[in-house]
Formats: sequence, structure tokens, C-alpha cells
Amino acid sequence: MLRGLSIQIWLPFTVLFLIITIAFNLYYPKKQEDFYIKNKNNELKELAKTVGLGVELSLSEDNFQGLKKTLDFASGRKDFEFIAIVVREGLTERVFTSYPILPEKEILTKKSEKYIYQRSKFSSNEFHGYILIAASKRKMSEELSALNRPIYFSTLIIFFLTFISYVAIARRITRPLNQLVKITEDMRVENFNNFPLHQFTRDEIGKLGQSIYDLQQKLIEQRNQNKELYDGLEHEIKLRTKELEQATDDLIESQRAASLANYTMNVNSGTGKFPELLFKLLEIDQSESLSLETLKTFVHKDDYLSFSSLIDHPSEGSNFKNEFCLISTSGNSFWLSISGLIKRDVHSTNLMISGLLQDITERKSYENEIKKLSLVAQNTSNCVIITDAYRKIIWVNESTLKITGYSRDEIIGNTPKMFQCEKTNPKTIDFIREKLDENERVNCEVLNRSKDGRDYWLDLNIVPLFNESDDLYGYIAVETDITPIKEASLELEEREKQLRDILDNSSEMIHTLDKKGNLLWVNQSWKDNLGVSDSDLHNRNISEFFDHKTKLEFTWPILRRLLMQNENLT
Amino acid sequence: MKIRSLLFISLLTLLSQSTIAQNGDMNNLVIIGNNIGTVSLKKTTLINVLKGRLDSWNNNVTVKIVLPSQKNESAALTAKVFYGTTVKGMQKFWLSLVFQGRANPPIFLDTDEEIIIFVQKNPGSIGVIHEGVDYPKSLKINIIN
Repeated sequence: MLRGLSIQIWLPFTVLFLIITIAFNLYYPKKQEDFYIKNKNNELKELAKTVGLGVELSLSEDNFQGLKKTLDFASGRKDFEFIAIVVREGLTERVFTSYPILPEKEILTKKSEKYIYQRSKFSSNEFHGYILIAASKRKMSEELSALNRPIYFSTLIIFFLTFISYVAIARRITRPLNQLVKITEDMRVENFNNFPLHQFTRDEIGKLGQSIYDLQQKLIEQRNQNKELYDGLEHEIKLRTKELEQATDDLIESQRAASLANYTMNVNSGTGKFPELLFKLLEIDQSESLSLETLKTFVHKDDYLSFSSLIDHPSEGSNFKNEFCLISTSGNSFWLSISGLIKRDVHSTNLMISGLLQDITERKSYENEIKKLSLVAQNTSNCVIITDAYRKIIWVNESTLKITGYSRDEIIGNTPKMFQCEKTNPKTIDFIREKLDENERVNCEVLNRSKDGRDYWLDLNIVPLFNESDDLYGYIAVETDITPIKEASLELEEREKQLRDILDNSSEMIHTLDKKGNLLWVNQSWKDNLGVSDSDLHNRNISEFFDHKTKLEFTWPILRRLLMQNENLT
Repeated sequence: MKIRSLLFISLLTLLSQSTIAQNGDMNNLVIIGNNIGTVSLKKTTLINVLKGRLDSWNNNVTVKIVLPSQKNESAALTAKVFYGTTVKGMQKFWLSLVFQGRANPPIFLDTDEEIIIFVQKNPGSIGVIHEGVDYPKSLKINIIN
């Protein structure tokens, strides 16, 4: 490009100068020729005059020396052709003499294209006429050429000198630019060495060089910064790559653990790229090709239609997630969850289905189990209530609806507090709360009230639910309606109280013992007769108040009867 | 035939009279010369010299012709004797000769004295003067018929 710049500098000037030179060499010789011929004509005319005067002088003064010298001068001219004395005698002309001696006819023609003629009249006493002098055009042309030759030669030399000067100037201008180009090219390949700053002059190119030098320094600084950045980035990339590899390994491991894998199916070609997991589940060799048609044959008859529909009539651009049961070659059934996206490939020629498939056989098994348990929970006579971690009810069974009298919509979203009433023991409520706050099981009896105002007792079993991360995600409460038992128990307690009142008022000493003979209760007569208070009786054995013989003789039968009575009561 | 004979006789008469006249006039003229390598010349040689047909003498000295100008009384005689014409004719003769570059032009001088002095001063010169003029006898050139 800079060589072109050099040419652009010197070529126009050279061409211009060449044109000027050519024009000069065409114009100047022509003018020179015109001037020369004009000059020659004048010279010839003057010469003719001089010769005429010489003739006149010779004849009048007898002095031929001047004529002789004039003729010598005339004949010494390079272009001299002839000179003649033509005399007129009446109307005729004749050649008196000539030099050199030529035929009269040739001299008198005077129209020859070869000569330039000039003449000058003379007159003497004896005769008069004119001097005719002729110069050769050819000789004049030769003389003119000889005259112009130095001009041609000079202009040629000047042209070449000018051309060389232009080229030298152009090269002088472009040399520093070439250096700058070399430097910038080096900078492009990050070679920042050998910047000849001192070589640049104090002109515009020097300023340009200084600017490029500054730019180079900036680039060096930027490069160093970039290098640092690059090193940091490289380190970061390595770190991230390592993390990514680790994540990939983890993902693969997770996929393996979750029985998850990628697949791609080409609907148009009927082929697919399936993971090792599928081959393993189908119990076929991975080296065998598995077409979509072949894959369909493994699908359970109940899912065959939906699977075939997915493959045979894919809806482009849609996402899907389905679960299919497949039968392996050995007849074992397993479940696959297949999700993916149906779209065209990059060339928009083939319809592709790609996504994830997961072995969900175990989950399906659990779901079946849960389904069974759910049936149990649905159909048990006990209340089953499931709440979330915030103790909001998310599920209840039919028995709960029957016992509480509320509809499912009224219950879902509420807390179990909705079942409590003013009769519910606050201590029981606090007890339940404390236990649940400590993520512990709760087993207690609680009095609730139904929607229609009926009080009922429940034997409450609350179990906190934890996920695999041991995070609490809810509670399940199984509640047994113990209202009849509770009512019977209360009635029994009332009767026992009545009995104890009777015994307390009896004059006989009456007490109750446990199986080991520890005192559980004594009546007032007992305490009065033995002179003890309630504090004296605490954790005391009956044997401490009787000797051994007395115990055997008097107390044992009573005790036995009391014990038997007590057993009957409880 | 008679007319032809008459014309022929008339021509011969004119020629003979001219020759007689030339010889007669020749006696009135003196030829002088300086260092021309000889003291005598044949008349024909003299005429040849005076008509510019000789460039140098036998001693290799250049011939310089000195003639009386038209102002000189001897001019007409000289023209008549040596050129067989008038003074103007002699001038035309020399004009033609000089113009053609065939000879160096003669020196025309107005008086015999000038001619004598010129001849004395210029070796190789030969001049024509009128008889009766004093001149150094050493310059005289004898003419042999």
C-alpha cells in the first residue's frame, strides 16, 4: 500500500512533467524552426543586400574586396546553395553570373521546394538587376536539428533528473510511513520491540510516529492488563471447569442414582440415541440397534397407544411428560418417566424428540403402596389428618368428616384448633404444642367439639413427618374416638368416689393396698385409731403398722378381700 | 556567296585592325612587378595573369594584380589592351570572376604613383602604369611577344 503511496506521489508529477517536456519538445523546436527560418530569411535578405551593395561598390568604386569578403561569407554558410546576379534587360531576366556556376534555368526557377530564396535589387550605370541568394532547406533542417539536439538531450536529462528527484522525494516521504506500517504490523502480531522513535522528524509524520508510539505504550499496558486478566480468567476457567466437571460427574452420578438419562429420537428416520440405562432396563445388549418401532414393542399394552401416539403423531414445538410401563425381554415390568421437547433439528428437516427418561419403577412401587395405605386411611374408622409444617390441614379422611361434622372444604386450610372448645383442657393443648415444637410424637387424650356442638373424646397420636434431609414437612394425626370409653371411665370414677365417701364415714378401719402391701388409701377411722395423718402414710407399707403375727392373723384376709375387690373395680 | 565573302573579308579586316591597335597601345603601357620570379613575361602569359588565371608565380609568391581604376587615365587603355573591352567591360569581367570565386580581385588604384608604391610594397604584385611615368626600373617587366 505504501509502495502505492510512493507511486501516487511521484507518478502524477512525473506524468505531468513528462507531458510538459513532450509539449515543450514539440512546441519549442517548432517555434525554434519558425524563428530560425525567419532569421535565415532575414539573414539571406541582408546578405543579398550586402552582396548587392558589394556589386554596386565594385562597379562604382572598383573595389572588389568587399564583394569578395561578402561572397566568401555567403558561400561559407552551411545552408548556402547558390548566389547569382540576375540582370534585367527590358522585360527579360538573365543570369549574369552565379556561384557556384549553375544552369540559368535552375537559378531562375526560384520555386524549388528545396530552397529558400531571397533577393535584393542593385543598380549601376551599366546594368541593374538583383542578387538572388538561395539556401538549402535540407541543410537548414540539418542545422536546425543540430541546434535542437542539445535541447532534446537537455530536456531528456532534466526529465530523468526530475523523475529521480520525484522518486527520491516520494521515497523520503514514504520511508517513515513504511516504518510506521512495519511497526503497526508488528504491533498487530504483538511485537512491540525496536520502535525507532528517534528517527522521526518534527513534522506531521513524526507526530504520527509519536502518536503510534503512545498507542503502542497503551497497548503494552493493555496487553499486560489483559495478560493478568487472561491469567485470572484462565485460572477461573480452570476452576470453573473443574467445578463443572465435578458438577457433571455429580450430575451423572445423580442421574445414575436417580436412574435418569438423556435420549434423542428422530421421528422421521425412526431411529434414536438411547442411554445405557434403557438398554439395561430392557435387558438387551447396547450394541444392538434400537429403533422406535422396536422400542414400541417393549411398551406395556395399556400404555402402547399413548406411546405410539407420541412417536407417530408428535406435536411439533410441544413439551410432554408421560409415564410408561415397559416389559423387558425377560418379562420384568418397569416404569419410565419420559419427558422432552418435540422440535425440528438444526437443518429443519427432521422432527426430533429429545429429553430425559427416568426409571421410576421404585417410585411407582411406593406410589402403589401409598395408594394402598391411602385406601386404608380413607376407609379406617379413625380420624386421619395430615397437616403441613405450619400445621395447616391439607388432607383428612372420611371418618374425620363424619366425627367432626365439617365438610372437607371447611377443614382444608384450617388448623386442628378449629375442633377444640372451651372444655378442652388448656394443659393438654400446651402439652401438644410443646411436644410438636420439639418435633416429638404426641400421644394424649383430648376433648373436641363437633360442628353440631357435640363433645367427643379422641385418643390422639401425632407423628411429625420428615423428608430425606430430616426437614419437617408436616404432621399426620391418627385419632380414635374414645368418647364411650371416656364416659364409662368417668362414671366409674364417680361411683368410686361415692364408695370412698361411704368407707370414710365407716367406724371400721379400712384401707387399700397395692400388691406389695403399700398403703394406697385409709379411711378416717383408720387414721384416728392409729393416730397418724396423711403425711405419715405416704409411701408406707401396711407391715410397718402391724407386727407379723397380727398381719397374718387379722390383716391378711382383709387385705386379700380388699385386693380382690379392687381388682374387680379396675 | 558574295555577301558571305564580303562579310568574311570585313571581319578579317576588323580583327587585323584590332591587333594592330592592341600592339600599338601596348607601347603606351608599362608592366611593373615585384618579386614575381622573372623580369620578362610572354604577352599571353601576361594576359593570363591579368585575367586572373594564375594564382601564384613560379617562386610560389601569390599573384597580386594592380590595375588603374576607372578614374585613372590608363584604365581605358588597359581595358582595351589586356581585356579587349572597355573599363566597364573589364569591371564586369572581374565582377564575374570574383563572383564565381575563380580569382582574387585585382587592386584598382586611382593613380600610377599609387600603383607603383603598391607594387613596391607588395611582393608578387604586378601592375600596369602609363608610359612616361617615373618608376623604379627594377620593377619593369619586359613583355615578350
